[in-house]
Amino acid sequence: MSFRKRGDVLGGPQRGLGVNRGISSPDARAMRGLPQGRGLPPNGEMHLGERAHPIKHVSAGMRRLAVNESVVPPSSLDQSHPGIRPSPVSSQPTTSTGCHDLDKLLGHMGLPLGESLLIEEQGTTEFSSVLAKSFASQGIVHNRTEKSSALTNGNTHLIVVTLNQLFGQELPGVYKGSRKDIKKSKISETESKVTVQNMLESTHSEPSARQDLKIAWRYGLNDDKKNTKHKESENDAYPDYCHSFDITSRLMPAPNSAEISYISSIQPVRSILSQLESTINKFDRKLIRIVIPNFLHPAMYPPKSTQLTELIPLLHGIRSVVKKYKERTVLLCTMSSDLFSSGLVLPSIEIFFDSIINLEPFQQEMLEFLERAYKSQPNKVQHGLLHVLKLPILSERGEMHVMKSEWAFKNGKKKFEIEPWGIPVEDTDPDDSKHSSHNLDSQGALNSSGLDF
Amino acid sequence: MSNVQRQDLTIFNDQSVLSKSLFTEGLSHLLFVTHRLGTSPSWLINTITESYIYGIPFSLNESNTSAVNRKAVCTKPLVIASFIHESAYFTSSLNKLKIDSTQYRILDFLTDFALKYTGNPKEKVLTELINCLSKQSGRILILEQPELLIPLLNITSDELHLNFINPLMKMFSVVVLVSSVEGYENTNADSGEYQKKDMIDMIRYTHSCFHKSIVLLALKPLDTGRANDITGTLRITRGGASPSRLPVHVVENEYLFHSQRESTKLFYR
Repeated sequence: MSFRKRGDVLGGPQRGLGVNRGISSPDARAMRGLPQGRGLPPNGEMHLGERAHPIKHVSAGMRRLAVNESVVPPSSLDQSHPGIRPSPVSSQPTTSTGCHDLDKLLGHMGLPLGESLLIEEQGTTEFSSVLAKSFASQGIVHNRTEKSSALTNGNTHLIVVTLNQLFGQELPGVYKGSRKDIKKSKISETESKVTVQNMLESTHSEPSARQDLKIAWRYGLNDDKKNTKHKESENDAYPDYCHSFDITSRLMPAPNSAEISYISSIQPVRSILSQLESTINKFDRKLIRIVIPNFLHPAMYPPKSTQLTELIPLLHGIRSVVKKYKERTVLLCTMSSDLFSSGLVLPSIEIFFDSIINLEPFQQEMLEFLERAYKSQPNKVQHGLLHVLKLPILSERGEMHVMKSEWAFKNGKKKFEIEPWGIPVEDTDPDDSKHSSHNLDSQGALNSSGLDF
Repeated sequence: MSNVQRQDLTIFNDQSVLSKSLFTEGLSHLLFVTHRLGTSPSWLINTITESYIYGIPFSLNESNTSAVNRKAVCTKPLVIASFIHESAYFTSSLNKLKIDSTQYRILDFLTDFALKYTGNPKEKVLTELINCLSKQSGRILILEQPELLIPLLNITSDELHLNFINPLMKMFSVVVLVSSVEGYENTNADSGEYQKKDMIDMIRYTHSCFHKSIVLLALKPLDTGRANDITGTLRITRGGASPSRLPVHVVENEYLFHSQRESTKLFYR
């Protein structure tokens, strides 16, 4: 049903008919986040005649429908935080894990606030620690995005539950590009400086630059820019949301006490929980990233901590804290799944996490096969399989997101990549095949000769 | 699955999810819901909630979706208590179903529970929890993952049943226990001779629930692996409790279900 006549002009005097949707009432404005100066004037000077009654009725209805603001806890986190964006799935505020591919895999372009992620790893490799350190580094980089206030105020705080007090010094630095890119950036930096030599060079080089552009236009060399436009627009909306980290470099300067807090893992449960909560309260108005690296590692946790009577109260308490401060807290935990493959420990731990992934590094034979298959493209060799067991929010809703052997990962200097898994076809050289067929023939001859008595 | 006919959920032979005869004065019944990794029971909890409040699960049963008159038929509120989810989790999902908040009570046994109760005498904690639940004066209780009390309070499964679940069954006409059996499945793989105390307690807890309940609702993923159009199976079987006092009986059945974008559809297996 529409109240607008066919001849009416949009935005004309009838514009106030938007009230049919209840937008004009001050309460409804507050709900929709509209500024007070738009739509109907607040003093009601708009001549609505008899239509004023339905407005009152609708606004009263809206008031009833509106969420009671006193019930919803106010979010103390700054809404302009560079490390937060809405989830494309659920619109919930989400923060990056420090790995672009993992962000995509989780379905929300990151980890929604108030959610937890468990990274299990089979075998004795340390791929999960790369993800944990990238997660931690991302928090520190977000904190330093607003450079002027990074050390005094900041926007993010990192809490690490570990015995390793040097965790902060082992965090990877932001990836600055390949060696070529670094050289190029250095050259452009020196060229941009105002010196006599640069001025002279620039006047000489101008015509050649123009010529280059002409050639570029003729051969369509600038077309690549169009293709990357879409990516850039996404990056422009959230430029500091996710970074790539170089695992061969270190974050400089190392995080200080205003940026990182350590909680010892060998304390009683009650003191770990109270320290965790007091640290979160101490850094109010900041995004809190909690990292528990190598959970239940025998070198860092006493044997009794693997008993359910110690383990469950700790995890129950940590989950409670994350949910209590869910408007500004995320949790990432890594652990070895091989240590607890049988029994109740692993299933009991998995109950307390909203999202779980499991890393299964390839055995040596598989790696050799992949190296053979990708002989000409060694960068394509994956390092293991990634199994998804739970996804944040979606699994809680009851959706099935257990995906085993559907993804593979590879770890490089620039980033930790996750891609769909497919067994590659091994290319064999004709010489090799001849050689092998010759071998087979000879073997067959041997066998046949063996059969002839 | 688009051309497969959608089915309605019925648990009892009077075509209901929660039969009215369950709420007879002086009797109490246990319903046991089990789930595993990948098959969260949130939709089933919502279905039970709707069935109690409106008599029909509007969000699940297709034949009832056209019903406009959503009038509450319950006289007392439904009580939900969870050891794994905070109250906001239930409130938001029930708000989406447009269920009036006066029709249910939510007790959050997650927030600050470990800080508040760790190290306290177990009898005292259990009594406090029972008192807290008895104040709600409801007829039906949905209790999510009470098995966590075993390690949380360092009690045995027998203590949990005797001092917590049995008293609750005296207070409420219907108690719905929702438990994860991922660990229980693991325990079966081990040799029975060398099982640890934790495992024995987990097995005893689950077995006791099987024997006490009148119906088992088991949610589990497909044995054949993940499918895009099926989430898992819901198997309805009779429990160990004698249904002789009930005029209705459980209709054993197995459904396929598909949960996507906060809606669930049921199909016959």
